Order: sequence, then structure tokens, then C-alpha cells
Amino acid sequence: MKKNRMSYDVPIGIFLVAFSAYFFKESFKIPNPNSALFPRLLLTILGILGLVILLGGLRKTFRPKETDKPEIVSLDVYKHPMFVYVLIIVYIVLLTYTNFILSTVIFIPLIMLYYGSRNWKTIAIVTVSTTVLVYLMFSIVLKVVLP
Amino acid sequence: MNIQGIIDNLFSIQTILALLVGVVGGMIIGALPGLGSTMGIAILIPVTYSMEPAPSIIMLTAIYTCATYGGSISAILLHTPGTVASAATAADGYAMTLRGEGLKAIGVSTISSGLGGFFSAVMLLFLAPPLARASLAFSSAEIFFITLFGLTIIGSLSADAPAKGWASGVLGLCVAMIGYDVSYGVARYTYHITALESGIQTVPALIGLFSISQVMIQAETIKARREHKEEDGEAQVQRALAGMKGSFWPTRQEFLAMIPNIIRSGIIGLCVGILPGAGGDIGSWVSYNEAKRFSKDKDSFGKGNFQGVCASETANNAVTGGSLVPLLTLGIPGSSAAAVILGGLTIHGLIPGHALFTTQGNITYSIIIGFAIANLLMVVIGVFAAKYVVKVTNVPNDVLAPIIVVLSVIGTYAINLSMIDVYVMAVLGLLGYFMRKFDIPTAPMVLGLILGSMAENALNRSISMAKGVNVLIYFSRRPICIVFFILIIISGFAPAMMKRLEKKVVGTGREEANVDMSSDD
Repeated sequence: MKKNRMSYDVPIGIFLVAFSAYFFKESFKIPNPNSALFPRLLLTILGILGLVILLGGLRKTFRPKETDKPEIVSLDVYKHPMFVYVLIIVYIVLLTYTNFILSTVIFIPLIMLYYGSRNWKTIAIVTVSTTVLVYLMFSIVLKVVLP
Repeated sequence: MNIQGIIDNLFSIQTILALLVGVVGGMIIGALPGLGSTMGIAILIPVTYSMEPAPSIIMLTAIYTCATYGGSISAILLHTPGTVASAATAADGYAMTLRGEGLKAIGVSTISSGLGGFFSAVMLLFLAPPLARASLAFSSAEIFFITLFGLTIIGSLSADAPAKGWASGVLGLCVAMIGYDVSYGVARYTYHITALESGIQTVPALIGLFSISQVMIQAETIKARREHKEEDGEAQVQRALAGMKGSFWPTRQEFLAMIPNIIRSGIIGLCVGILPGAGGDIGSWVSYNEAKRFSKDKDSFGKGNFQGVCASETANNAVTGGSLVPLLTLGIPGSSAAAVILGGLTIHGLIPGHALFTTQGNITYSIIIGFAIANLLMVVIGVFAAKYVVKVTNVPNDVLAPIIVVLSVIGTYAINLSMIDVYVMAVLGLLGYFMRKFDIPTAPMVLGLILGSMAENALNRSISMAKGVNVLIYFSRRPICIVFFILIIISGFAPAMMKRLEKKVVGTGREEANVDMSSDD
């Protein structure tokens, strides 16, 4: 018999239930019990919904229907977006420790190269124009001090 | 509230600039596939910070309506809807382009979008004030139920599995709990991190959830891009431009035939817009279906019937104004883009409700009229600029991505001059990406985040107003609460209804459109 691929709803459901349970426990750290009312209410609902999703995921795993949306499970898909995310984090770190101009001038070519752009002229134009325009727009028009 | 004040607001330089930037920018953002109205508004909110409230909101609403229109340009010419709301336009529109009637399809779309949007603006002007007055009868209990209703319906309509939609909403409410609870003077879930004590700010969260996650999703196609898929895009644009022969304007006959369609679609769009959570995509599909049903030539739909383009575009623009109705009067966004605009309103100190139409009336009426003007401007500029907008859609991802990231990051920083907001944006960007991969809608979470403290305060106040009686009994004694309660139950069944509608109309249509549906509008 064909092995059923586990629907990703199952781990999502489990995660939600675990999440709700954990933060419910944490709610006891709140000094005032009245203040904890709403969070506990929400977390209970979240836990129930997690359960619903979990059950739905189990159903999709063992009794797949025509109308179920196809699920992409390969890890390949995540490679590029995650790397881009890392680049974004690098940019933010740069911004924290250096200033806007330096960080931006480093970041833009980096990300463009990653995207496969080989045309140095384009990279230069985008870098310069974006940096200049953003700088002008924010610091002069809007009088915002940049990091 | 006086006429002079409104006119002053409307004719200031800021407003005129705001209108121009909003209309042109909106069209371009809409036309670019992958960028939607919701995201466009989110990115440009920081830009409105040092602007006056009225021009700011006018610009945001202008972006909303023009992005909805702009999406049709790439749908028609490139068979790729620029925004989800134009998915219904793609089939017939592109077929018309292939026949050499691309320019006329754009003409139909321009007229339809403009009329739909303008109609919804006018209706906004007439429907909102009475509704705002009615909201005076609402006290904490009703407010609590309204927020609940907004969340339930956005949750049930925005995902295939409503449980995920609701979970997203509740998650948003939970995140809103982080911070200092003013009523009881205690810190919640802050783990002694000072930065968290003021809570999670809405706009950074918005930008992260919508814009950063979108950049990451676009990044998935990097491999294909590196293999020179750009040439394909270039060829497509050339073909599109070649298909733009013939006349822009529909013939007198065609225009007369469009009129009943426009009226019907406009009303459908308006109602869908008013319905919290239902956005441009639902409006356009429903009205497309209805146009097909009323047509004597059903088989031609999907193969290049301009009535299809007309129905879809009138409705999706009518949704824009409609979604502002519950937003301005009750604080419940009628669509995800409206939810983002809610963020913008809050920043400028505009709190939805009765006060918006009385003490702050000058600002509000300026906004509504400005929105109407934006729709007219959209038609005017569309007539001249549609051709050029197409060329813009060819901008490759590797140029767009850095621009979006820089704008998002710096924009977020500019809010409070705080890098912490930027960190929040980053965390929520990652979260948003995974939510979208796992089919969990992001719009309900945004709504939960925005409404979180409001909902909790309303509940707490209801409990104290119940004066010792069990709060549930207190609720059941209030008729308005009961009405909303019934509405909440109904909206629980809304997804079942939507599935029936989808099966009737869409089937192939929605899948062919091949667009990421989760948070765009």
C-alpha cells in the first residue's frame, strides 16, 4: 500500500497546541490574575484551533480528498528565501553598528549579485540612485535622522 | 466641520502631491506582478509620517484604488495579474490582447475601474455618516462583539481552512498581549526585556508580515531567474505592446452594453467590500460570475469577452471604497488592504468611529472626497499612461528586491527612530514567510494585532459594567450584541458558502491565475 505523506498541518497543529499550553503555563507568572484572563482565554481558543488543524492534518494524511491543496514539502524551496533573509539580517546588523550610507552601499550590490545580476552598470545605478533617493527623501523631506 | 476647512485640506500642496504620488505609484505597484496593493500601502505608510493626516490617508487610499486598477494592466497584457484582485480579468483580457484588441481591453478596464471606484467613493460619502451615528449606540459590549465579528469573518474568508484563519487572528491577538497592561499595572510576557514592554508596534509588524515575506517568496524563483528567464519577460512585453493596436475607447454600442454590467458589478463590489474581510479578489470573481450568468453569450467568457473584463474591474475597484465603510465607522476593515490603512489611520491619530465624522470631520470628508478625486485622476492618467506602465512591469526582481528591502527597513526605522522596530519587522517577516508557506493567512493576524488591546479593554469594561452578573448574561440582554453574535455564527458558515461559489465560477480560473493569494488584496 502506498505510504501516505504526512500533511504539514499535523506539525502545525501540534505546534499550536504546544505553544498554547506553554504560554498558558507562563501566564501564571503574571502578578495580577485579572490581567491574565484575556491571554488565557485566547490561548485556550488557540489550543482548540490547533487541535482542529491537527485533526484536519491527520485526515489529509490518511484520507486525502480531491479538493486538498497540494503541499510542497521539499526543503529545496526554502534555500533561496532563507539566504535572502540572512542577507537582510546582515543589512540590519550593519545598520546597527555603522551608518545608513555604508550599510546600504554594501547591501544592495550583495543582494543583486545573489539574484544573479551580472550587469555592473545596473548594479551601480541601482545602488547609487536608491541610496541617494532614500537619503534625500527621508532626511530632507521628512527630516528624519538616519542611523 | 466646515466647507472651508475641507477645501483648505484638499487644495494644499501636500494633498496634490499625495494624489499624484498615490495615483501613479499605485498604478505602477499594482502593475508589477508580485507587488500588491496591501504591500504597497504598507511600505509607503512610513513615508506619510511627517505629512498631515488628510493627505496621508488620501495617498494611501489612492494607492489602494490605483493598484487595483494597475493590476489589470499586466493581467490584460501579460496574462499575469499584477494583483490578486485582477485574476478574473486575466483570461478575457489576455485573449483580447492576442486578438489585437489589447488597447480596448485596457480602455474597458480603465473606464470600469474608474466608475467602480468613484461609485464606491460616493456611496462611502452617503453610507458612512449614518453608520457612524449608529455606532454611538455602541458601548463596550458591542465593541467587543464587533471586533470578534471582524476577526471571525476575516478568518473564515481568507483561507481554505477557516481554522487556520481564526488561528492566525487569535495569534495576532496574543501578540498584542505582549507588553505592559495599563489597566492592572503589570508586565505581560516581556521576560524582562525592556524593549518588549511597550508592546509590538503595528506598522513594523505590518511591513514585516507583508513586505519582507513577499520579498522572500519572490526569492524562490531565483534559480529560474539566474538561468536567464528575463528574456522571456522581454519577449512577452514586446508581444503585449504589439497587441495594443486599435482604439482605446469602446464603441458607443459596447459602452451602452457595459452600463448594466457596471451598475450590477459596482453594487456587488460595494457589498463585498463592506463585508469585513472580503477583498477585491472575491468581489471580482462574484461579479464575473454574475456577468456570465446574465450574458446571452456565456461561452465567450474566458475567451475574450470584454464584459468579463468590465465586470471584474468595476467590482474590484468598488470594493476599495466599500471596504472603507466599516473601517471608518466601526474600525473593522473591509479587506486586508483596509486593515493596513487602519494602521495608517491610527498613526495619524484618526480613531474610527463617530468622532471621525464630527470633531475630525474636516479631515475625514477631505479624505473621502480626495479618494473620489483619485479615482477620476486614475482614469485620466490611465488613458495616457497605460502603455508606459507596461514597460515598467519588466523591471527584474534583482532590482526590485533591494529597493523594497531598503524602503522597508529604513521606513520602519523612521517611525520611532528605533532599531528595535526593525528587529520586530525582521522577526515578523520570517514568521510571515512561513505562515504563507503553510497556508496560514497573514491578514487576520494583522487585524488581531491592531484590535487586540481594543478587544481586551472592551471585554474588561463589559465585565465591570455587568456589575456582578455573569458577563455572558449581560451580553444576552443587549440586542445589538445578539445581532452580532448571530452574524458571528453565520460567518462561521461563510467558508462553506464561499466554496460553493468558487466551485460554480472558478474551477480553472483561480488556478490558472497562479498568484499567491494569501495576503494580497
